Amino acid sequence: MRKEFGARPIRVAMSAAFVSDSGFYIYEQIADYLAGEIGHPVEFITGLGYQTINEMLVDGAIDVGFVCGLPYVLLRDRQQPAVSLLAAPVMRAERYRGKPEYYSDLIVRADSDIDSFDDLAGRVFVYNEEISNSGYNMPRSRLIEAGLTDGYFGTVLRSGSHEESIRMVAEGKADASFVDSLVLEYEQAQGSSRSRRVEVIDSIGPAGIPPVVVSNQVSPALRQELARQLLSMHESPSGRAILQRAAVERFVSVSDDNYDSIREMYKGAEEAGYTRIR
Amino acid sequence: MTAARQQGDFQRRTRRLFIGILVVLLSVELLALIVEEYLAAEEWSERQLLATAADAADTVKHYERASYLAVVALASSSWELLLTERRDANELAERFDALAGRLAGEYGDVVVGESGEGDDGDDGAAAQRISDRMAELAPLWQQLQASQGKLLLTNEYELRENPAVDEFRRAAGRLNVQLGALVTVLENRRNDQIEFLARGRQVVRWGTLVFTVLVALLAFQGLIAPFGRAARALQESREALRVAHDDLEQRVAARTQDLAQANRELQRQTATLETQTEVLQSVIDSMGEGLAVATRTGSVEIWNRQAEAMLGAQPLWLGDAASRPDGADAWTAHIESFHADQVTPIADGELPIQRALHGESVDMDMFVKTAAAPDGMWLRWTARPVRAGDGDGGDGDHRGAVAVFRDETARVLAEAHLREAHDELERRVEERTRKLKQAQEQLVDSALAAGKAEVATNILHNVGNVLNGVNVLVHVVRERLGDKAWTSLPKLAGLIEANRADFSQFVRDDPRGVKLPDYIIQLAEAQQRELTEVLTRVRRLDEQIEHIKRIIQLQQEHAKSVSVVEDIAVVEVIHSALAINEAGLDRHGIDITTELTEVPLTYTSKNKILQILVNLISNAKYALADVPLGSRELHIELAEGPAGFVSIRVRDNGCGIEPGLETRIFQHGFSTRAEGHGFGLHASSLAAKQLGGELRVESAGVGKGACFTLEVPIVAASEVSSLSRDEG
Repeated sequence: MRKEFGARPIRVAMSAAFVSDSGFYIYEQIADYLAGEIGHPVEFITGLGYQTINEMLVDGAIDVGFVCGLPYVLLRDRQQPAVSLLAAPVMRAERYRGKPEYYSDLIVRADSDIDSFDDLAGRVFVYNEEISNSGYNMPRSRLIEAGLTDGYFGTVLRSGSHEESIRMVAEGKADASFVDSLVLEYEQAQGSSRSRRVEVIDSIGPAGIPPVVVSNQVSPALRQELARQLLSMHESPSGRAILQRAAVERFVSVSDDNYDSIREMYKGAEEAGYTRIR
Repeated sequence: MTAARQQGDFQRRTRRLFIGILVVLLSVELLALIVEEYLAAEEWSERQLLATAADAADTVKHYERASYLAVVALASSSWELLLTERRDANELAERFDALAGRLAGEYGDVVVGESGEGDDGDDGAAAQRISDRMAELAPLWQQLQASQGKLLLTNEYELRENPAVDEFRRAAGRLNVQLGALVTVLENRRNDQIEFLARGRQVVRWGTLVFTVLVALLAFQGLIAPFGRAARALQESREALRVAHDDLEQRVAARTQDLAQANRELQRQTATLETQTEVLQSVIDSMGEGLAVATRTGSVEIWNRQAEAMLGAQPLWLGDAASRPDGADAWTAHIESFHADQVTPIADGELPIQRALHGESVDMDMFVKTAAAPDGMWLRWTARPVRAGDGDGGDGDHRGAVAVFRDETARVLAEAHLREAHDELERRVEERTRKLKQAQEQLVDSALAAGKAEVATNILHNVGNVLNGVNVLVHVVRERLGDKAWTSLPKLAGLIEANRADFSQFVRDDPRGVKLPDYIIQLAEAQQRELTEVLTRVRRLDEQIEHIKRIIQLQQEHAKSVSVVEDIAVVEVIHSALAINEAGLDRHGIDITTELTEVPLTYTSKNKILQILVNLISNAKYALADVPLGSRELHIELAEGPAGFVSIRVRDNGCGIEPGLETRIFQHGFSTRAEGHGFGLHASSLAAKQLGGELRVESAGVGKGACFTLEVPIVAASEVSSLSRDEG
């Protein structure tokens, strides 16, 4: 088996997560689990931008990526699809109905006078990443739907990550932000102070949950092995324990159409000529 | 037991003190070691913290560089480089976290703690500065990490005018400045700490040394010195105990010896007493006298065997009849006693022992008659009272009386016979005395005859001595007259006679005539000298002849038993004696010396003294015959001798006198010379005695000379005038 995968460790990158930054260790544990099960070293990579991850997946510099739905769509919809779907998590919370889906939650500071999306006009809005689905694609689509494409917010800031967006709202550096429901819930479950100082006043979704993709540079055998290990992870005690800590029920096999809504929102923005939130 | 207990206590104290000192020393050494280790750990900690801070600064620099390289790789899509630098940056970030955690954990807490306790001084200020720097590190690091995260999360890959890059650069710059400041502060603090630790080490070392010295002093004071004192005290105690023991043993031995000696003495005294008692009893029993001892009341205590033999069995009572108890046997029952007239009875109470019982000492003769001696016998009684303390003065209590009596009958009868014999002897003595007187008269006549013979001999001797001198003088004169000077004169006369005719020509031309005048002059001078000497000898001859005349006259006077006595100057007599012997002395080459002091005139016989001295000088001359010529010495001294005497000493260094002959040479007929007649010294000694003086001789032995000393009394003429008359 090892010889089949070459001498280089299997590189697993994470750009969008079902946990926050503080839960990165869970991804490390998943990487270690896979290494143990496959019998080949696994290198976990984080801290890079969505776009960078995508390009590295395209180039084969990264083998496996926990990526947001929109980056997947962008990689998948290339003329030469760069990645393939390995699996997607199903969260344990009832909100997600046992399906591989999630939401984009609108958060404001708990003591904020903003009660709804409509109160955001002229306010400071912060987002994490331009090709983030929950943080940028879905709010942009909401603005397009609401016809608020002429500069609805007073100020639009880029944070780089959902955790930073939550911190900025909590600290009053921004009035509102749309964040990954999985990240926020993990923060809240961990009891972080920043999560306690914000509240969700609105949500968009559900949408296809960020999947686990594999670069098409990776051999089919490894792709199959990786898929098999992820999909059976909940069956082993160690794998189940890791999933439990991340509030994940299990990994399930998903098809590309699970991300069509995202694909549609992205195309709608391009078609509307409103790619940049204002 | 006390010494052993004290020794045990001392040993226990010494052991406890030794253990205590050992524990203290070990504790001090352990404490010093701990302090030293603590100081070393502190120094090591300071160095480690400084190294950690420096390492953290380097780590940030490497982190910054890795991050830049990652961004460059990102911009150039160099994914391997991106991943490598990302990985390096992450590792550097972990390293920095670890270093910062070490700084905060190992140093920051201490700083906070010290600051919180309000430590003062430079150390507190430095700690505060470090604390401040440390506090600023974490946010700066977080800012740097955040800016790096943003830098890598950005989708804008432009390096120029990229706000994220600028922010990252600024964050890195601030952190570097802060870290540099921290390193500087830590270096300063480390230097201070090193200096402080060095001082601390010195303090610990000196403190340990001082404390060790103090402990050593304490040990000396508490252990060695007391040990020495205790050892000395123990030694002194043992010595004192040994001395006391020896003394006690010596005293016990001495006491034992004294007791043994006393016991022996007691045994000896007991034995002696027993012996003395036995002896006394034997003495009492063997006494030739009767012994009676009565008590103060008159009863008889001792009545020895001799008393029983003389006076019968022991009476029961010796006291007065008046005080005699009933039944007691009285003295008078068996014995009749009388006074010396053998007729008058001695009354009761007058018996010697009865009188002694009354304190009287009695010595008396008594005539008694008993059944055993009906004709009576004479008893000599000695009765004495006996008092306590007798022998020490006898003034004690009266205890009784003792009487000793012996049979004097034989003595009394012998005395009667002796009186008769005495009367006969008296008669015979008277007759004998008469016969002796007759014999004495005959003896006197004989003595006178003998004296005359002695006188004649004496005269011959003295005249002979003088004649010897006369002969010598005549011989000398003859020799002088036969000398050349006198014999040459006739030859000279013959020569003149032969040339009488032409005497002037002879004197002028003949060689003998030419010398004749000088010869005559010399001859006249020689004859004058010879004539002078011959005349001198002739005068001496006259003196000798005069001396012979005096001797003869003296001897004539002596023959008539009359001595010529007069006041004389002894010194003149000595000169006369020397003059008499001068010729002989001169011929014998004897060197004469005198030492004549002035003495009083004495009234004595000049001729006897002269006779003695002439004799002594003549003897000396012969005694010096064997002494080599030139060494013959005669010395005469005159001085006052013993009180009232004149002493004349004639000493020579001649043949001396054999020991033991110093007195025999004065006996008549004794002479050491073959030609001597043994009369001179005898006559001289007699003459000296007649003058009331003495002639004696002293000599160290044969060949060692002799010294004759004549001592005659210095008598004034008035003292002897009566004596001369008596003798006359």
